[in-house]
Amino acid sequence: MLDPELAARGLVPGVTDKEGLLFLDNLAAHRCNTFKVYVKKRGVLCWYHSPGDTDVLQVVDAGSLGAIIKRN
Amino acid sequence: MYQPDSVNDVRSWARVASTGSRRHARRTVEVVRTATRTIDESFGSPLPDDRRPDRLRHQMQVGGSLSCSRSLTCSLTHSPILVLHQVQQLEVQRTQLDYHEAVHYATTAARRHTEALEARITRLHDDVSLARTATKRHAVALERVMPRNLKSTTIQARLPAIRQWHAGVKVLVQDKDGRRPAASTSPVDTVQGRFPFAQRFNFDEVPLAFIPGQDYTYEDQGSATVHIRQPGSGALTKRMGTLVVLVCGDGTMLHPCLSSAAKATSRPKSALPTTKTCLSCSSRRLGWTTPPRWPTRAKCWTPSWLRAASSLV
Repeated sequence: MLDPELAARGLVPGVTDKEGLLFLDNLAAHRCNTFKVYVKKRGVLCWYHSPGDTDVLQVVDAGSLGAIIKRN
Repeated sequence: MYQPDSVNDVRSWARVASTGSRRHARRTVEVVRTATRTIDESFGSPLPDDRRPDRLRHQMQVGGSLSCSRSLTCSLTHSPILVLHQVQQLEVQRTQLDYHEAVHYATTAARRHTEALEARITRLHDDVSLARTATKRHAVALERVMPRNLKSTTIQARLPAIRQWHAGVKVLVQDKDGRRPAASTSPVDTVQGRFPFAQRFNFDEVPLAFIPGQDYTYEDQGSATVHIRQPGSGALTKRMGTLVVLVCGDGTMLHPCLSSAAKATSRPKSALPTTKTCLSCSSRRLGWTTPPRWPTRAKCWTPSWLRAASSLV
């Protein structure tokens, strides 16, 4: 899912003049080394939310599609 | 409250009964016509309808025996036409009796059905009142099962950590020394900082629980968590899929991805991720994203001489 979206913004492996920032929650699948290496190759920095504050910091939960689904 | 439509039930039953009655009447008319034809043939010529009463009186006066047909034998003292009239009347009465019997049966069945429903509704009311009494007695409340805020601490208690996180993000964005040398040499935007809005992403996974109609269950009053047991085999039905939502910093929501709990072999071709559709689908064993497994024992295997060397160190 991430690959085409990052590539559309020029974040592909081998390009060194661009940087991206990815906000994530502390899911085990997000913190695993495989995902970190995958993202790091594309010049994207993972920035994790503080533990236990995802419901406040997560933008998706604060009024987007995820919030609609979670509330309904 | 359910109201039994007894009128429709009666009509349906009566419709069936009238169909049977019509068939029965048709058969009766055929019998009567055959008998009439046989009588006419026995008299030598067909009798007009207007002369039949005279013939009937004549037969009543003369009397005698007459064989009408193989199956219908008249008595010695009655005319065959009179017998036919009697048979016809009996058939009509029988048809009417059949119809009335069917209607009576349908009415009785509808009444019994209505009584059974009323008894069931009464039992349900009793059960509901009993359940309400039990919930009050045992301090049990109807709790919502669907996701809710399970944080035990308040926002005020978590506010310092949140402020610290925001401060870290601010420092990170305003940092001029990028991790990449090519990026650090380029001029940093004064508004967007080190990371342009189009290159900031937010990634979240939203569980999808396909349990319609089971949003509430009974739990102790004031309990922080609600334990539920999902229907079906296993607890995988609690989360049948995960919706992965990716939001960009410039306000665009990118194509969400749906990870469903299905085997890769049973995944239809239409569910393959495509860039044309607004939702890309994938299938996983558990329905949500899991970190890769730890390396197996075969991959972690190290030769004996290396293990010996590491033990010496």
